[in-house]
Amino acid sequence: MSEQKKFSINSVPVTTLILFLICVVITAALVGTRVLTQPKIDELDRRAENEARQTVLPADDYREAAVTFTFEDETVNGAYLEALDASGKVIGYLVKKGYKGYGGEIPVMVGVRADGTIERIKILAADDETPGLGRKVLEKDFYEQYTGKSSGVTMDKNGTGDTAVRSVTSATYSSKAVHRAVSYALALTDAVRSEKTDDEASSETENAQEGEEGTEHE
Amino acid sequence: MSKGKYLSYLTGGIIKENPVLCLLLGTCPTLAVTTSLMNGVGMGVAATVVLICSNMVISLLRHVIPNKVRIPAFITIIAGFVTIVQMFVKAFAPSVNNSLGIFLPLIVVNCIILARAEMFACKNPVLPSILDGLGMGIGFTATLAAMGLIREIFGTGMITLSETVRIPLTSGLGIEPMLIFILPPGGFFVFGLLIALSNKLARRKGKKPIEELGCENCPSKSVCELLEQDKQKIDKEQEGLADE
Amino acid sequence: MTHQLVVGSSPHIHTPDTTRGIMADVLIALAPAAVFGIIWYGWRSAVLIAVCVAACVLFEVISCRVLNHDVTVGDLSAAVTGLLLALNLPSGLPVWMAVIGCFVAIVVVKQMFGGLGHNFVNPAIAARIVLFISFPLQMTTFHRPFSGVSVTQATPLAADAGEFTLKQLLLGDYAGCIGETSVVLLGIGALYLMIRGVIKPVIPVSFIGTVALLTWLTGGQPLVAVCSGGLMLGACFMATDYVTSPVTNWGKLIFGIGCGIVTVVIRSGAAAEGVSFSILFMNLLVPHIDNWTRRKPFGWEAQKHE
Repeated sequence: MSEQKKFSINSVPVTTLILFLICVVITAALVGTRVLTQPKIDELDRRAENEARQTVLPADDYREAAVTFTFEDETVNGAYLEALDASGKVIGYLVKKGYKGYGGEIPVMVGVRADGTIERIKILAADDETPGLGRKVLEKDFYEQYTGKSSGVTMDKNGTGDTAVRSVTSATYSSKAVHRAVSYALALTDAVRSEKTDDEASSETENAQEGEEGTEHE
Repeated sequence: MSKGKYLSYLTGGIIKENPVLCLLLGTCPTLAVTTSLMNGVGMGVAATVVLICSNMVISLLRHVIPNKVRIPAFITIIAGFVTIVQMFVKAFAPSVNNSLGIFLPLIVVNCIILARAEMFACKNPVLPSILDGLGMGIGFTATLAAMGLIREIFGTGMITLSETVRIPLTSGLGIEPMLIFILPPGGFFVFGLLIALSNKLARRKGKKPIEELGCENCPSKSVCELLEQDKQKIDKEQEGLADE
Repeated sequence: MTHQLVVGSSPHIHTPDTTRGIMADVLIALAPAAVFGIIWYGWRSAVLIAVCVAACVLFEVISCRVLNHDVTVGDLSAAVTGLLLALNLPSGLPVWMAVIGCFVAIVVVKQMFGGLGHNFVNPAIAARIVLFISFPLQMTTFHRPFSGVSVTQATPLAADAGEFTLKQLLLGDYAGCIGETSVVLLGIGALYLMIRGVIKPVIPVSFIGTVALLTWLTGGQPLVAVCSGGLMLGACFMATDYVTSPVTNWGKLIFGIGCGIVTVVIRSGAAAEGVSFSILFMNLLVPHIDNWTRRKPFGWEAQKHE
């Protein structure tokens, strides 16, 4: 910033060396910071994910699974989580799905009990929706409507009756996106549950046959 | 130097040369991040930390960094500190990270930091540089906090101090909040109002309003390099004339 | 000699127009649509109109005092702004929101920039847009005519609005803002203003014509497009505002066509508020339009460029 010295500090070799040294030092500092903070960051991520799951469908453990089913006339392979109790029995299912609302995707986490009714849904984000309109899907009054509903739930402007939910006034796109995600989750869990009952039915007939043979002997 | 001079480095950044309202630097994060009080404060604190650290390091290295590559060097140093701050924020204050989003890494190109490095830190010793950084940072944070508070109160009707602590101000009064305040147009409105207010206050204190544009009225006059060069040129010319 | 020679500087010929007279004409022209709005949508409309006019006048007095201008309320421009704003609002809007709109229109857009003649956008349009962004729910809830308050109805521009007969569209038998629905009455008012020489037909015709043409070319229903969404009200009464529209006829033509294009583009994307945003946008371009269409002074020859 002052007059040039005789051994030119602005010459190519000197400037290159100095920049290089600066970069080396900074990189070392960054590596050090990362070593310090990365475990904490990973821990926080894990905790946030678990918290979301526990809010929607509390369970002792979660197991990943997938199923192929039909939704909106298309065959889909959907991933989901099985919620297990302490003894390993399936008590419900967790499905995460997002559809485009008005501004962007609205990811929803749906918790379905083993009997096919919804425990709770959680709207994970609605950042791109209009505040005061589409963002209202984040409010309890809206999403709590889904608790207790099952397949066949419809959405309209009034939400009268046990099988309908009310959309947010003047926020059709955002509401429909949420409804679509919930319908997806219900279709998925229906497919899972019907597979299960098929399995159970075939093992039941086996047991029944054995049982009949048993009573005959009495 | 006298204590008064040191103090003036600190206070200059808060009122007289407030980076946002007087120097009009760092406007982009100001408008984008002040949708709530805590967002503004979070950004302000993060930028202040970076500002102090980068001012300190650049001042320490001011005789070592060659003039030709000073901008790349400054940016690298600033970027390094921003990344460090970002990692710490992610680890220890994740909610701040979520609300600031991409504006946290964008502190790298915050004009305030680069401008103070260029205009002050590379020409002054370490302690004044640190004080200048601290003062500018406090001014920045205060402005962000004020804007964030106004926009949040008018735009959402409540003050959110954290995920769990909310102070609802208008619920139950039947008044709807005016959404425009948390949207970009509202940001510009509030910004303009604050600048007008600060100009009015400066006028009260005797500072005349700027009538003409130009170097004479620029608040960065005292540290401007271009002005220095012009002065040197004029001095040389005068010397040349005197010699004749 | 029968004439006296007046010794003084120009102008020597005056028209009797005053700002007050022009504004009074606008009020008269808007009266039929306003009355219709009151009859159609109920007493709430009358309340809104009264409050808006009163609030605008009041804000003008206060801000003139505070900013040390002369109080110019007598020229009726504040009253006109108030009436225009009220006609742009749904009848069910809470009164305090309308007052905020008046504040924005008079204090922020008009007085803070220097008063009448210095506003850079149309105050009523700007206020409407601010209210629309601030209170989207209340500003998009329209009530069915003669129904009081409880029933809401979609406007003809909404996708699932259904069919409307020609008579309904022209007379205004559908849900909308207080003053924007009755095309016939607004048309009568616009004609009155044209006859009185207050506005020139260039802007309304080019604006509405462009919207109709573009809607027809893109496969929509031109009649629905013209009769709804506040197009008549905007094109005839707000786009023609002297301060915020170009001076020359060519300029006015460009302005009107531009408004029409922007309106159709916005309507094809967001299906609402096309008219107000397009007027606001073109208002901002008016200084440039005036530059492009500057009339050459008499006797001026083009300079040769070196």
